[in-house]
Amino acid sequence: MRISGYLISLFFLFNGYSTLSQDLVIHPDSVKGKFIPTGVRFGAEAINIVRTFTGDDLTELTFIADVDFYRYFLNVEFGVFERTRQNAIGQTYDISGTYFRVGPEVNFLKKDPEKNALFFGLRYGWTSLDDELRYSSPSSFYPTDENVISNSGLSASWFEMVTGLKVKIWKYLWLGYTARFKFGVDTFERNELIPHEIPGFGRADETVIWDFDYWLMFRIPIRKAPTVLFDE
Amino acid sequence: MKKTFLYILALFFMGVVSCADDPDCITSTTDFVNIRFYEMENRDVDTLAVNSVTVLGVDSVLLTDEEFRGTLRVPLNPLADSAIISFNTEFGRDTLVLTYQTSTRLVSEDCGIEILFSNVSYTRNDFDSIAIVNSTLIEEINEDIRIFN
Repeated sequence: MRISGYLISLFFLFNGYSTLSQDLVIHPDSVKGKFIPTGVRFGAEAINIVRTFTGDDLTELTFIADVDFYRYFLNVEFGVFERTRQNAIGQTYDISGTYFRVGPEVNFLKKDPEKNALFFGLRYGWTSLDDELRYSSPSSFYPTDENVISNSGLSASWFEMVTGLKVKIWKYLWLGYTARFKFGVDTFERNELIPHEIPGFGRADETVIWDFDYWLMFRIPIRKAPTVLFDE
Repeated sequence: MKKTFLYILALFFMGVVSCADDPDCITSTTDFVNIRFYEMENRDVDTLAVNSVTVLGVDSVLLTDEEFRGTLRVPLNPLADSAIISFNTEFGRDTLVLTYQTSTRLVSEDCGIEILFSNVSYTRNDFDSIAIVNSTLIEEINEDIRIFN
């Protein structure tokens, strides 16, 4: 009698387990090792490349790299900037500098099998610049002497809220864009020479700027993404 | 594949709507400092018998042989950090030494440069009293220094 009771209990136990297995769903959040990166993307800003190689007075190249941690990315950008502005009355402004932007992103397309990304993120930007202005005195009352004023090693920082897309086009080739809302920069109005622009930020007479970057990228896979079953 | 197409479409759409902007050529800065004369006793605007007012480095005489009542506009040198102004009036000869700071920026190639005069102060004067009422020179402001005789 006791043995038959055990057998009946085992029957229901296995029957119940079998039923449970048929409905088993493994959520992406429960996959082991999901925060181990699956690939690294490298790229460059496309418009700046065109402007650099078609214009004489501007050199700006911006490079990007990101690495995934499940649905999150760590994003690093580095840029070099050189520009000369000259007008008809002999005023010449030269600026050169480098800039970094770093920050996290979250991908809202976490279930996309191609790993396309619709993201929102934050950036901290930092730049170091040298600039120089050569001009003659514009006053009609005093001698029009030539004057040269400059900044050396001037640094500035700012913050950005970013959003955009990263789309797989073919094998390792990706395209993307980043829309940026930049804020919190110093305008340097106390300086003898107020910079005309801040590399990586934009016009120095603005404290808030909207901007777009268009990326041409390549993704190097590090490992296969963990296999998951989705509950769609 | 359909999703990818939509993403690419969105990329081109964003490319169409994005654009760059250039700064306006409108500037509010000026290289003139505005001086007004007041009576010491009742603090009213004074009418002054002026023989001459000159600025060191400026060839022309700002005022000469006139009854002056109003605002005296004195040009400052953007390549210097001080100005020496000599007054020859009914009260005798007086000298005012102004100091200031300049900040220069290129607005754009088309607009040229803009010079901001700030921290206007004085290091010497021979008047009964003087007051700096505005230390950053703006075109819309017509009184920067008050001189009391």
